[in-house]
Amino acid sequence: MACTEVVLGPLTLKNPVMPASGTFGYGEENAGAFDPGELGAVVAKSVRLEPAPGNPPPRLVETPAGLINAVGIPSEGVDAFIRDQMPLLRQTGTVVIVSIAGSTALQYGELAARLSDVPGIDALELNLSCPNIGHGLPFGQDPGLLAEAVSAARGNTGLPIIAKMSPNVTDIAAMSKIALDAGADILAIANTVNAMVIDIWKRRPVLGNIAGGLSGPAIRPVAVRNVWRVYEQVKAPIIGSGGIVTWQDAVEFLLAGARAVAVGVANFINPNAMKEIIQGIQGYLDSQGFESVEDIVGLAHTIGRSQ
Amino acid sequence: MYLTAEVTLQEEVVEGIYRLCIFTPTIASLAYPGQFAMIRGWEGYDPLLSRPLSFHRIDFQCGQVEFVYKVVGRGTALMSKWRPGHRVAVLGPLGNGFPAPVAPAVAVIGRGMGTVPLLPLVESARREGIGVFSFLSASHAGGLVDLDRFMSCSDQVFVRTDDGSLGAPGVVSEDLERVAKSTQLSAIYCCGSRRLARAARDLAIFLRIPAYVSLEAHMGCGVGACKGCVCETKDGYSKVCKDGPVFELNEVVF
Ligand SMILES: Cc1cc2nc3c(=O)[nH]c(=O)nc-3n(C[C@H](O)[C@H](O)[C@H](O)COP(=O)(O)OP(=O)(O)OC[C@H]3O[C@@H](n4cnc5c(N)ncnc54)[C@H](O)[C@@H]3O)c2cc1C
Ligand SMILES: Cc1cc2nc3c(=O)[nH]c(=O)nc-3n(C[C@H](O)[C@H](O)[C@H](O)COP(=O)(O)O)c2cc1C
Ligand code: FES
Repeated sequence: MACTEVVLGPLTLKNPVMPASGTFGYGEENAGAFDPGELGAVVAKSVRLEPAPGNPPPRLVETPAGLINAVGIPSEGVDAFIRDQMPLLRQTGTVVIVSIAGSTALQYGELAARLSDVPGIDALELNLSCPNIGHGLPFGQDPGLLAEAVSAARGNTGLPIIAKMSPNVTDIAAMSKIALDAGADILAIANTVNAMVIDIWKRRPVLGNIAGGLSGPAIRPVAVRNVWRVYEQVKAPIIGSGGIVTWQDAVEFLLAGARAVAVGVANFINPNAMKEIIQGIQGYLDSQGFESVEDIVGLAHTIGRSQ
Repeated sequence: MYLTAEVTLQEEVVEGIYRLCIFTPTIASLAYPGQFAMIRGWEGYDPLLSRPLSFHRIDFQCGQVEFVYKVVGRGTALMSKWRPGHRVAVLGPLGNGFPAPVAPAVAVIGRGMGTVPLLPLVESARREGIGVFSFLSASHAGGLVDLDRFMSCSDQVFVRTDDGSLGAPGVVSEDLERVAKSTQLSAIYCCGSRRLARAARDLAIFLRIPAYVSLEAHMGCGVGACKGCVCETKDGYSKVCKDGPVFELNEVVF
């Protein structure tokens, strides 16, 4: 049997599959299809410093092979998160990644400080797709804000930092370099793609928040290309995500250069998806004669160079 | 519970409204009135998400659950093509359903497809020997599915249609008010109309009895993980899938 362990810089996972933040629950929200301890890691819904209600409904709208969400990161606040969610996450017995979202760069620092001493956290993921309070642009879309947010977190924690990058930029590789220079250890490529739907009969946007982030199979080729590009340009471990539903999709991301994959919307349509993906990757490696996941990371690059 | 199960029956009840039966002893043994299931049974990713449907009948003995749905878009149109033997993925039972009816009698008030989740409640009240008064409205007679079942399980049924195709002109909320004056009700259950919900809420407050409403929202996961399906309640946003779909009427902000 091929080895499924992967090393992402300071973080070692027993297999390369984890949920994408905000799409999987660990307590009673777990659809109960399998033991989350079987995952390479568990990733919590992004947490904020203070409680926040999130966006007005409707928060979801479907598009062909996609889902736009404008949930808006409702949060119980970091204190309640530590008290109520951490015990559940810790109990899973696998690597625990906590996603944080700030409205200011300083808040990323404060969140990192608050979470650093909490037992059972193996890494922090910075959700850089939330708008900052100042001029409303997401951190991940402005080089200066991005550097500030990542440095603020880095300054306050020794935990591995995953920078979850926004695909809504001209050059995701250049932005990734900025995140790494500011102290990130691992890159998550990428978050949702800006999108909206207009109801032609009501003649207004469908979502309460007007626009949101597109996920699902609709964005997969975009995400694969982003992983491909970052892998070429930047030396850092990549967690690939965007529209992964099957193990074949996951293998595509690994071949493009991801060392691990995050699964989002697929959890909604098949609560067993991540388990099936873990098994499928194993089966692929075995049947294709590879000894470990690491053997196929970025393998597609050695065959064809991108222009 | 997430499982694949077989369609055992599909029939068009009236134009555009279908009855779907699925054989799943596990879910049939766990479900209770007011709960729902997320259902998906097509290839590919369009539509992407599963569709939530309320249980219309829970037949524990036959291991079967029944849904009644209206074709409103792509998902329900695909659903209407399923034939017996077709296998579908079902996640359920989900959510908090209706609190069990208590003696002496309950009132159910619903409009259109909103009468669907009320039927299993009415049937279970009848089994327990609890009185039932049903107040049903729709735009036209065809919009009232399984009226005969409501009839056979209720002490009295009041029907009103907008076009007058069934029942005398009038509004069911006034019928409910009238009945409540002469009958002791232990609770009111409501679904399918904001106007009826507001009327039921005000009446319940006046009568000092509990009232419940089943709400709908666009759903992602159906299990409380995505926070996509919220409605406004007195405590802020609540998840329809996990905190509901049945809420205390008084808690909901309309
Ligand atoms: C808990 C719950 C129980 C339900 N039970 C039943 C039932 O027993 N019978 C039944 O006929 N329907 C029921 N519904 C509604 C049903 O889920 C939707 O009609 C269905 O998902 C529409 O799918 P579609 O692909 O056909 O339509 P879409 O193409 O997705 O949408 C068509 C139209 O319907 C609207 N719509 C879609 N989903 C919803 C929704 N969840 N709530 C309100 N409007 C919606 C859209 O805005 C659009 O205008 C229930 C919904 C919930 C949340
Ligand atoms: C309902 C919903 C909620 C999400 N919440 C978060 C979140 O809190 N933090 C975050 O970093 N990403 C969030 N995301 C983005 C996902 O983590 C993921 O990056 C994205 O959905 C793309 O992956 P997918 O196509 O596999 O879903 C959310 C996505 C969805 C659909
Ligand atoms: S549908 Fe996901 S939280 Fe309700």
